[in-house]
Amino acid sequence: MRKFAWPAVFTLLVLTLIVGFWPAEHAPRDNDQRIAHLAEQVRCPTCAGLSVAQSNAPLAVSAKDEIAQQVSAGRSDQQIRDYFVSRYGDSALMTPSKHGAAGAVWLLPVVLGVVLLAGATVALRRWRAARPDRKTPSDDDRQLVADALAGRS
Amino acid sequence: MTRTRVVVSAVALVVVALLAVLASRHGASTELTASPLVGHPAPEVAGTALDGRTVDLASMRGRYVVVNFFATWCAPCRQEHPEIAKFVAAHPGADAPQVIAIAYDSNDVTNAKSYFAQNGGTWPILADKGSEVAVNYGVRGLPESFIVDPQGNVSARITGALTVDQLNSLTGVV
Repeated sequence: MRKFAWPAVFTLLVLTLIVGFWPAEHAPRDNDQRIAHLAEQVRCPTCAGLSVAQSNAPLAVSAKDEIAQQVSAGRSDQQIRDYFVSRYGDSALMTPSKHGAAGAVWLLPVVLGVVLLAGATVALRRWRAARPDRKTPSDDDRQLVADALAGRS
Repeated sequence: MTRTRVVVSAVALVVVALLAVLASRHGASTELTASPLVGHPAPEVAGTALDGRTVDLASMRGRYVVVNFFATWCAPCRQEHPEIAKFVAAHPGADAPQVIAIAYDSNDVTNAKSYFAQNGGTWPILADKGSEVAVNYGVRGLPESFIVDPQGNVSARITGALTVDQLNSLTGVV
């Protein structure tokens, strides 16, 4: 049972990463759903921390119109996101880009997780190796118990 | 020196350094700001100006063009208006830098026209219906201006009120 624990943890970690990074737009969607989804991803240029879907500021409304126009023109979701990044920079999107220097934001937690996991594994192994085997009593232990029993009788 | 004195001296030093930094900072009202458009072809600006002139940024190759996003309800836009007027008046030649004003707020177009009539301003005003041009330029607030070089590339983005000196410098006429 114990020998399956670490592979199970590793498999769970890999599955979590796959689910987390799996693009949500693989399912077929109609244009309205695409527009709504993209509007949630594009940051309102004049509001703090809101997407254009969440704001009625003039520039947010214009950005939503631009998304709708580009979807109608047949551009892909990635092309539309790239358009906003080409105008407003990486901060145009609510989630950082997975490409270029901004991609480090996504990579860093994974690297940190792997390093921590490796560190914990090494520390656990060392601790186990240093721990005396408590299952089989030493000769001193046996003598101690024998002396104690002899003294009692 | 006691430990308390060391701590107090360190805190005082940090406060003095902070004050020195704040005192030496330039005002943040007008500044050259980063834009992904800098170094790339300027997005299209074309249409019929409020005075009936046809405006097309693409036809202005060979000279600098200032694309200025403004609204009459924006105080820094009113502050920069006389500066732009001075700049335009100082450079009347056919190859001189041009200014295109973009009326960012479609509800403000009538006010923009009368504001120019009252305060002077001979450069064309384009109404930005639905702020389409503003989104295309990555505008975040007003006033915001973009310098387009003679090759048609964006060479600078300025947020805040423009000054004539800044315009002269950025359009290479000084």
